[in-house]
Amino acid sequence: MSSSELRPLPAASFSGDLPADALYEVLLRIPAKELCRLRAVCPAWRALTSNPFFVAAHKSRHHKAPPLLAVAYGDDGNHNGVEILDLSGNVVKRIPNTKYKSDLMFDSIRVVRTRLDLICLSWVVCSRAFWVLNPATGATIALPLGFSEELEHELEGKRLCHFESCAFGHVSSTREYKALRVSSIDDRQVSEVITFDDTNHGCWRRKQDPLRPVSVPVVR
Amino acid sequence: MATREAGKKMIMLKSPDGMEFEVEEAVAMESQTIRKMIEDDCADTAILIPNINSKILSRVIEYCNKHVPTTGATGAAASDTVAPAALAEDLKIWDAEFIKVNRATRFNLIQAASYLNIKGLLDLTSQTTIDTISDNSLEEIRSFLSTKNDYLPEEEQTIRRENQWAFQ
Repeated sequence: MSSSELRPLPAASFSGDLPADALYEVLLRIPAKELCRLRAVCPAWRALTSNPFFVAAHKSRHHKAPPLLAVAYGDDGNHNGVEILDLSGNVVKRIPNTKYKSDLMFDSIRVVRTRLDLICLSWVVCSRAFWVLNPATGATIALPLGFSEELEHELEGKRLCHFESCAFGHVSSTREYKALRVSSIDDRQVSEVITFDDTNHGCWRRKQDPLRPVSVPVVR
Repeated sequence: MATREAGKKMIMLKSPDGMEFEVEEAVAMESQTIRKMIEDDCADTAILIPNINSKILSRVIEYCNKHVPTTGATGAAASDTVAPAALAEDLKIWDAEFIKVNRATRFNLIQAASYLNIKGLLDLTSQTTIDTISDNSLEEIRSFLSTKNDYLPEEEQTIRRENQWAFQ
């Protein structure tokens, strides 16, 4: 009688009594907040719970969760970041910002936009710096500060401007994101776009200016 | 073990320690992994299940045998005569008895259920471990699972600080 053979099990890479694939199944069934605590058990647990495949599997298993809110927080001690809240106001996850600093001492973070499970952030006062956060993995990517070459040329050193808004979308064919940035220069608004992915980004490119004023986010 | 009825297709499952288990195809197909093999026509009449010893495999088959009539779409269901609620209650009691095993067996059952992709068995076998992990401190979890803490003390402090809110 011939015999079919299933593929062998992957080699266990975790120390401890619980085999790796059993640990995977157990952690997959644990809520996200509890998983954050468990990251301190050992580096292997942290690596597993940060793995994009694990994150995706966890998300699809817990996808019936109600919608979440992303809220920027900051306290006096210069600690700031983003909190993910459920609709009852319970903190589901807190992602401290350790990477980005404002040029000003008492600046605070604002959530510019959330889309496609990503969060676009900037500073309230130093509004030039936009960065995008993946709340599942904690990975961030900073969008370049400067203007596009075309606009730099046009401005000829004139600098009375501020950045107002940033929106982004996903190019499904290339798996890249595209962001649109609207800045105010004197009494007009200009638009620029950029293409970026998980690891790097290009340069801002000048596009046709908005025909009508684009809404300015409320600054506290 | 369920009594073998005439005309039912049987499948042979082989454990790496040389034991052979003849089961109804419907019972074997409680495992999504085996189901896929059968549906894709890549299963012969005997399937070797690697890394799952005969002791664990026999428990898995016992579980599938018990659960096949209510979950399988084979027409073998006997639920016409028994109320579904009573049947579910009976299964719950049976499950509670089934899971009264030592820790090593339970871990092996989780692993087997994961590999064979049997959702009900996975949920059942992993629940005790989930409860233990959720109810205990990190030190207790490490000692319960004999997990070595490879963090340097300062590394662990940083990770704890980053995730401080989750400890509250």
